[in-house]
Amino acid sequence: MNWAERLQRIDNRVLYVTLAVAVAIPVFARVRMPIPPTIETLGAYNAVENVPPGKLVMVQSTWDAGTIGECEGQCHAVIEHLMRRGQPFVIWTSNPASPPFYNRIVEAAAKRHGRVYGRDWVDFGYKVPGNALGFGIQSMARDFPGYMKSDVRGTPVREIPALKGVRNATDFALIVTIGYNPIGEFIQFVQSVYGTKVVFGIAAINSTTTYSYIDSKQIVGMLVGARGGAEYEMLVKRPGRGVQIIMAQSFGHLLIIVLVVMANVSALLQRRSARGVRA
Amino acid sequence: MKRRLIVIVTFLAGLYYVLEFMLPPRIGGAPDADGVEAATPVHTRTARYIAYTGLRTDRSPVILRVAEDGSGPRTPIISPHFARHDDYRGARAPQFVQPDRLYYIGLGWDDRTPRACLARLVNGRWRPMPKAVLRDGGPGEPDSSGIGWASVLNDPDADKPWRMWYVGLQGDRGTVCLAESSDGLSWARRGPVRLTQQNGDNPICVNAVRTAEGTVLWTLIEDPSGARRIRTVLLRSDGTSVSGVVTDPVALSLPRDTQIRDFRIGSDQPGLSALATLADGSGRTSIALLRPPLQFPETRLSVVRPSLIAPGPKPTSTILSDIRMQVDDILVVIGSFAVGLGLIGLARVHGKRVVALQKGWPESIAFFLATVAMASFTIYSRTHPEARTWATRGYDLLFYGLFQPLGSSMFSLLACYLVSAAYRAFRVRSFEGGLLATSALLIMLGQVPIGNWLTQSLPPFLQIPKIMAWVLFVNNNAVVRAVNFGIFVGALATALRVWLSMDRAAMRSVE
Repeated sequence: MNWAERLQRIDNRVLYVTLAVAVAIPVFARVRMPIPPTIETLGAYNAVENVPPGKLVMVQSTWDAGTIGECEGQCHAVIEHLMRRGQPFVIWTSNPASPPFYNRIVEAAAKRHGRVYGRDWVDFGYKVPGNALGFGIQSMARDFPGYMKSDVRGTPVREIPALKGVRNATDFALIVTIGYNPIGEFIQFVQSVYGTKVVFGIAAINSTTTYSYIDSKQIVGMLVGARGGAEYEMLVKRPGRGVQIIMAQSFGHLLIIVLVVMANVSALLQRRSARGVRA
Repeated sequence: MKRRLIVIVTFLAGLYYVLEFMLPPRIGGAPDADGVEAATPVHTRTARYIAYTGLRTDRSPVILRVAEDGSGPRTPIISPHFARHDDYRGARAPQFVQPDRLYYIGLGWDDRTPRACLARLVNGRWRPMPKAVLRDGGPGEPDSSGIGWASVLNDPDADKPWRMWYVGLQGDRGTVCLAESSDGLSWARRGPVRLTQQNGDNPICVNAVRTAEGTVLWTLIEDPSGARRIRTVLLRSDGTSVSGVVTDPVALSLPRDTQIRDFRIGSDQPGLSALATLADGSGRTSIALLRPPLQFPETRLSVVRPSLIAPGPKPTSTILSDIRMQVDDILVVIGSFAVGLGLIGLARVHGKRVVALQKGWPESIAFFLATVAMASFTIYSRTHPEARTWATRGYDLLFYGLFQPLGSSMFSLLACYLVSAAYRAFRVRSFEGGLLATSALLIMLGQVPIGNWLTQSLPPFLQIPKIMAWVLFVNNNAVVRAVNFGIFVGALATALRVWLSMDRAAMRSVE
C-alpha cells in the first residue's frame, strides 16, 4: 500500500483521537481570536437594544443537555443583555427537560444585576407541549393571562407586577426563541398576526432554511449555533461558554477541512498513477 | 368496538379544532361591545355629534359616531384599512379641530406603536391621511415608544399657529411634550413641557384649552398607587414652561365606585364641556358628560350625565373558544396517561427479566433504580422548594451530574461520526461536486472565528465571512425558496389528484 492509499484509509480510532486533541487544544491553551458579529447576530442584538424601557420581552427556551453546546451561549448572552438593561421578560419552554438549564443562567444573571423575580422576570416553566405548539402559541398570543394562568410558583398572571395589564401578544415588544429547531409558529401565529418582533436562536444545522425569514423581515435577527452565542457574548462584553465552545469548534472544523483536502488530494494522485499504469 | 371509539374520538377532536380555528369566537354584537373610551364633540358646518373609540377584544379599536345625546345608531367613521400602515391595528382617542380635522391615535402595522394620525372631512366623510402626522421618536427620546394621546390647538397668536401637546411614551412612562407646525400636517418636536410633578406620577392624557389668560393644560395623572387626579396649569407663550398658576388637584365629583380613565375638553354652549371615560369596579366603561366652571383657574369638574354613551350589545359566543382550555386540558391528561402506560409497560418487561434473571437483568435493575431515584428526588424537591435537603442534592447530582453529561455525550458522538464520514465520503469526482465541496468548506470556515482570522487582511470580497454571508443569503435562500415552492406545488398536485379520484388505483392497492 503506497502513501496515497494509506492517507485514504486512516483508522477511525486515529481520527477520533485527533479530533479530541484538536478540540482540547483551544480549551487548555486559551486560544483567542477576534469574533466579529454577523448581520443576523447584529439584528438580534439591536432588537433587544431597541426594546422600549419597561416593555415586556418573551423568551422561549427549549434547549437541553443535547443542544447545550449550541444554545447555552445564546441563552447566556440574551439573558445577560436583558438583565443588564433591566428589561422585564417572561421565560417558558415547550421541553420539560429545559427549565433546569435556563434557570441556572437566569438566576445567576439576576443575582449579578440585583434583579427581582416577579418585577424583572417571570418564569412559566413547561407550558406548551412540543407537539401542540401551533395551538398553544396561537392561544397564548390571543389571551396570554387566560392561557398561561399562573407562573411556576403558582402566582396568577394578574397578580404578577411585571405582567400588569398584559392581554395578548401585542403587549410583548419582542420574542426570542432559543432551541435546536426554529419555532415557525411564532412567525405564523404571532409576528404575522400581531406584529410582534421575533428573533431565532437555533442550531447551526437548522439555520440554512431560516435565512429567508431574515430576508423577508419576518424575523429581525438570528443566532446561529455556537457562533451566534459567541458573537452575542462579545457584543454584550461578557464572554462565556459560547466563546469557549466556538474556539474548540474552530479547531474541529479546521481538522475536518484538512482531512477532506488530504483525502481528496491523495485520491487524485492515486487516480493519476492508476491512469499512468494503464497507459 | 375499541377501534370505532378511537376513530370517533379522534374525528370529534379534529372537527372541534378545525371549527374553532375557522369560526370567529363571537358572532354579531356592536363594534363597541367591550367598551367605549376617549370621546370628542364634533361640530362641523352640517352636523353635530360625538366621535368616540369603540372597543372589542376580538377586533381592532375603531372610531365611531353617535348623536350628541348618545342615542341612535353608532356608525364607524374611521376603521383600520390594509392600505394604511399607520392605523392598520386600530384607531383611538379622536380629537375634532375646527373646521374639518380629526386628529386621532393610530396603532401602526409594525409593532402597534401608537402615533398621531389625521383625517380630513371631504364631502361629509372622514378621509384618513395615508401617513401619520407625528410618529414615535428616536431611541432615548421621551416618545420613543409612541404617542399615547394628543391635543391639538390652532393658536393664531403663536409663531406657528398649530400646536400639539401630546403624551409621549417611553415604555409605560408618559411625558407631556409639545410639537409645532405651520400647517397641522408636518410637525416639529419642541421637547417636554416642564411640568413639576411628583416622582412616579404618570400623565395619561392632556388637553390644551385657550382662555383669556393664555393656554391652560388639563392633565390626567396617575400616581404610583394607581389613583388618578386632574391638574391644570397655565402655560407661558412658549408652550413648554408653566407661568405659575397651578390647580392640583381639580376637584372631581364622580359617581360612587367609578374611576376616570381619560377625558377630552371641548367647547360647547355655554363655554367648556368635557367628555370623560369612567370605569366602574368591574372594568365596564362608559362616557360621561362633565362640565367645568366658566373661568380659570378651574377647581371643579362636575358630572352632568354619568352614562352618556354606554357599550353596545354583546356578541353571541360560539362556545367553541370558551371551552378551548378544557379541551386542551383533556388532551394533556390523555397524553399523560400514555406516559403512565409506557412506564407500566417498561416496568413489566424489565420486572419479568429481573425475576427470571434473563440476559441483561443488571440493566433492568438500573432502570428501576434510575426511575425511582429521579422520581422521588424530583417530587420531594418540588414539594419542598425552599429547603436545601438531601432530595435537592440528590436531584442536582442526578440531573446535572448524570443526565446532562450523558445527553451531551450522546450528541458529542455525532462529531466523531461527522469527522469520519466527511473524511471518507467527501470525494470530488465532478465539477458540480467540486462546487459543492468548495461552498461547504467555505461555510465551515465562515462559521468559526478561524475563517475570519485567516482572511482578515485580504480585500473584503475575499474574506471568508463575507463570502459565507453571500452564499447563505443569496444562493442558499434562492435554493430553499425553490425547494419549498416545489414541495407546496407538489403537495397541491397530489391533493388535487386524490380529491379528483385520479389516484383511485393506488388507493385500491393500499386497501
